[in-house]
Amino acid sequence: MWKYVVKRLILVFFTAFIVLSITFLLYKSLPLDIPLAAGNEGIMSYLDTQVRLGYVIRSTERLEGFGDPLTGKGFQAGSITVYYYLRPIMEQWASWIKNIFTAFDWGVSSQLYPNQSAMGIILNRLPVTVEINIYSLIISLPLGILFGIIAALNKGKVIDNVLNVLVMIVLAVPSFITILYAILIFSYQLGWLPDRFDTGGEIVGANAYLRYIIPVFSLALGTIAGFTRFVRAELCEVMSSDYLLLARTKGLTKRQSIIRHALRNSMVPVVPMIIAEFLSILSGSMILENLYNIRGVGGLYMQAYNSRDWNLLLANTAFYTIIGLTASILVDLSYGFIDPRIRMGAKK
Amino acid sequence: MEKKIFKYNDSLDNSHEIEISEQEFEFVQKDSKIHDVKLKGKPTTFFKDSMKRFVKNKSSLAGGIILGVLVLISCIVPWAIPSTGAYDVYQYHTSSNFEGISGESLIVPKLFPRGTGFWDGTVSKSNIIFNQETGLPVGYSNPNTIFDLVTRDTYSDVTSQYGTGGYILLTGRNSSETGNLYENPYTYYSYKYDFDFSNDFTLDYSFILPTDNEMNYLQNPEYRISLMYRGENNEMLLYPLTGDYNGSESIEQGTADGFVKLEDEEVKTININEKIKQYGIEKLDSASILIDLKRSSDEDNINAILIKNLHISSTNEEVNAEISKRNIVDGNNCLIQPQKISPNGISRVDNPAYWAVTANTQVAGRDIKITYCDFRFDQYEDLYGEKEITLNYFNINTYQNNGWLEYNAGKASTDKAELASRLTVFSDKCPIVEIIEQVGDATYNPTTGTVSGYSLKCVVSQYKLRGYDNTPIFIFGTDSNGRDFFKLIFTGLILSLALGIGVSAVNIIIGLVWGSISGYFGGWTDIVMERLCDIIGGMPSIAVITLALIYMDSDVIAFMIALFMTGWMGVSARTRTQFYRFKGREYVLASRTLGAKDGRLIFRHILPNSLGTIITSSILLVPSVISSEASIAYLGLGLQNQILFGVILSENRNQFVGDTIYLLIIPTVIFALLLISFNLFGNGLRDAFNPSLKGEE
Repeated sequence: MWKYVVKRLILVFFTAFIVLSITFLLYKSLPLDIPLAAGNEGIMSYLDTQVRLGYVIRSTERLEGFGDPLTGKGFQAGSITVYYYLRPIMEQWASWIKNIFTAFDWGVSSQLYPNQSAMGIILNRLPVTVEINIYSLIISLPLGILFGIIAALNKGKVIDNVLNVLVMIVLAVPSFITILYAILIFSYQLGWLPDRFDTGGEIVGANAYLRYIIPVFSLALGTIAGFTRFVRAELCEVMSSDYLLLARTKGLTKRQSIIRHALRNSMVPVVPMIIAEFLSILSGSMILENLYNIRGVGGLYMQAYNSRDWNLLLANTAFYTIIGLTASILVDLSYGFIDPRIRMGAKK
Repeated sequence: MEKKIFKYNDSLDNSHEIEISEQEFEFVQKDSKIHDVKLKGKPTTFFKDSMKRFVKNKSSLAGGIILGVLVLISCIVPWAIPSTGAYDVYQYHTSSNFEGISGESLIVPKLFPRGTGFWDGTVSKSNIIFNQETGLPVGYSNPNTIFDLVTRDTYSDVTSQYGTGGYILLTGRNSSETGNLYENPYTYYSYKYDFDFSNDFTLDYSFILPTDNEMNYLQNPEYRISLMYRGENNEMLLYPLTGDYNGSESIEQGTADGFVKLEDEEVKTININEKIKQYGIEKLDSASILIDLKRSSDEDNINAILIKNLHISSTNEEVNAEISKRNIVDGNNCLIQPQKISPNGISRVDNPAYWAVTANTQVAGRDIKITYCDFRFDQYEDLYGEKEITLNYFNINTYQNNGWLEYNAGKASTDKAELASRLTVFSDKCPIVEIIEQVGDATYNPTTGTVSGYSLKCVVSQYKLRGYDNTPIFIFGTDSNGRDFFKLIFTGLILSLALGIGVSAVNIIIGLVWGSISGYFGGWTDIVMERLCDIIGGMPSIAVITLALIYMDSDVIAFMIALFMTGWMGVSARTRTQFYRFKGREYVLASRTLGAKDGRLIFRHILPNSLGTIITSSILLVPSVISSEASIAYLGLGLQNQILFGVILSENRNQFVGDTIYLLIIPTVIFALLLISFNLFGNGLRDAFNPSLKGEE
């Protein structure tokens, strides 16, 4: 079992390493983005940070072999003129790896919030995203499992069919349509809820709470549907298994057999799914955050793209990649840990 | 003969008994050879069997039919509708080439004839101020476009609340007509009543000082009622009807001061003609009564008087009926209030009954009737019906060159008969319905033979002007760029579907090849290829798209590349599983023993076996391409202005309110319908083609 875990972990680590390296090289091959709007001092302080991070060389005289100096000119630092040159890309890559492993430094933002730590910006945006997602998960987990159980226990009956159709519709229709209609109906037609999460100013009164309803429920809807389908499928499979038949033949009532045998066993594959769901909380929904004006992680990515802040975009991509890969490995491993059959197999 | 009784249960658990003797018992197939008898039942193929099972699944069949209908419409519509005017979805029609003719953007959907109230190309308008004079809502000029008109009266002081623009009708509560407003040189306004003094008139009036809580800024009101003479261009004070006329005998305006302090409610009756005769004037045809208010000596205080009652009567019955409309009777109060010098807040419009009041005006009238109306506005009649515009000479020349009409331009004229005689219309396409007048004399250029320099004011048929043969009907309306939404949506849909199918086909091919190699060879090849998949798949798809967009010039190509990067992985994984399943089978082994090469084994033996399952389960790739396209456009990453379904969806995402809400609802409903039917169809197809579900009901 541990051998398997270690093997998987190493593999994921290398995958992440290669993916991030490729992303890094692709972003760094673009022309260096410099906060030109920040003025000479701003540019200098930004470039000095780049020097500290090991991407740029600072020199008091013109150097040969590094191409033109950055921004094409020298900068006055007191009485001397300094020139900045871009390091070769592989050297930059080595510095980047070093920074991450020694200082967990993912670079600084260049355009959006010049010279601020990229990871810091992301972590700053995280609370809102996590908050909304946790609320939605708290609502959707019990409901999803409940609907799944109801559907499975009434397999083939009207209620099962209705639930199946609803699940199919929710899963088929993309989330932005659900969100649009929620905003259209509840914000514009009925006027019950605010039409945006962040108004830019102080939010007072009931709106401070009401503004959570649309994002939380539009996120929850998809999760509920997903869990309903998954739990129903698992429970249906368990219900038709031999050991449940045995339980019934032993003389257990239907209720007993379902609660003691079927439900417990059907929850086994559901747990990894919950873990994955918990992790994906962090990444947020880009579309939702855009449509409902939430200043979360998902919205940050778009802001970074629109202001052409490659450094921030790179850190953001790294953030998403790590979350995605961690989620997948956690799911795989938790299967092994939770399912007793796999655990037994590992002990031999 | 001895008979035995046999008992047996049939499939429904009913027991039967048969009484039979041994001689009667006989084997049906004894000694017969049945191995060379042709099978009676028809053989079925895998495909036929799958289709049979697919058809049995009602919801999938319904999904398939809806999908088929949508695809069929989108195959027909872009080519069936000719590209004239707004039907040309590759052009924007936000403005037109003609002055006074607006563009074709945001026309509401029309399916039924107007008046049905639903989907009839009309917009409901409410709370529009009603112009009593024209009988139309303010801002609307064509009576043909207005119907279901309901008016309702409101009463209000004319304050800045309504003083932000528009016309306010000052009228008595019980009459539709009003006394004219009179602006006198002293820069304040008051009501003015015009009379024909050939009859005897009496004037009863009562004034009231508004109480403090009504108008708390009113102080020391003084009023004056004067008889004015109306000349051609001027007006002169004839006789002060109130108070002592303690000035000179001159009748020059402004020299007299007949102001009276208003003590309390005051009732007076004046016979105007008697007064005139007192003054020595025998007969006056046209004159008016002016009710003036004096400005207070203290500039900051403004005086005003509420006329509680003003009754003017004549001995002549006919005249009486006419002027009684202008009375202010009880409940018909009017506040008269002088403005400060330079009444820049108030400007007069042509008809004195209407004021254009701008903000920051003092109360100029009290308890004034404002008529609002609700109605339905026919956008199609407005944009495609007849309208009076000015056509320039080069438009006329173009029509002449087209052979639609002949017009002998010459001297400017307003005589319609004379103008009509100059016009000969040859074609139905000619938009001119009626000429009203010619503006400017035409100049004939003998060298080029062209006539220029004039324009024609005429009534035109707008749909002809815009190049349509008939009034167009936009089932889904037009979008903000003036494109027929019906055609736009289905053009976008077919292009999106084509893109989706193209991308999916490429992805399926890549996935098949990749998965086949990976699954067939296994071992190290498999491990390396799987790790490569991990790496490509480990990159968040949004990052792939972003990078593609940054590096590529064309966003459509970037979008396709991003889809090619990751789209094949699902197919590849499925193919790999299928290969692991089939590669150890006996028929593969047999073929291999006979010397078949790897390529033959892969593409002739294993792949065809799993192809149906793989492709049917990959059918949902097509709508997912449309979804990603919409997502990209929604996030503002790219694809703007492309005619793709997802892009059209995202362009109209902010149409939450007002008449244009159809732009949000129609594409989202179609999209939801498309995705749901695609899912039903795809899932049904997948289940039908899945061999492991065969025979399962």
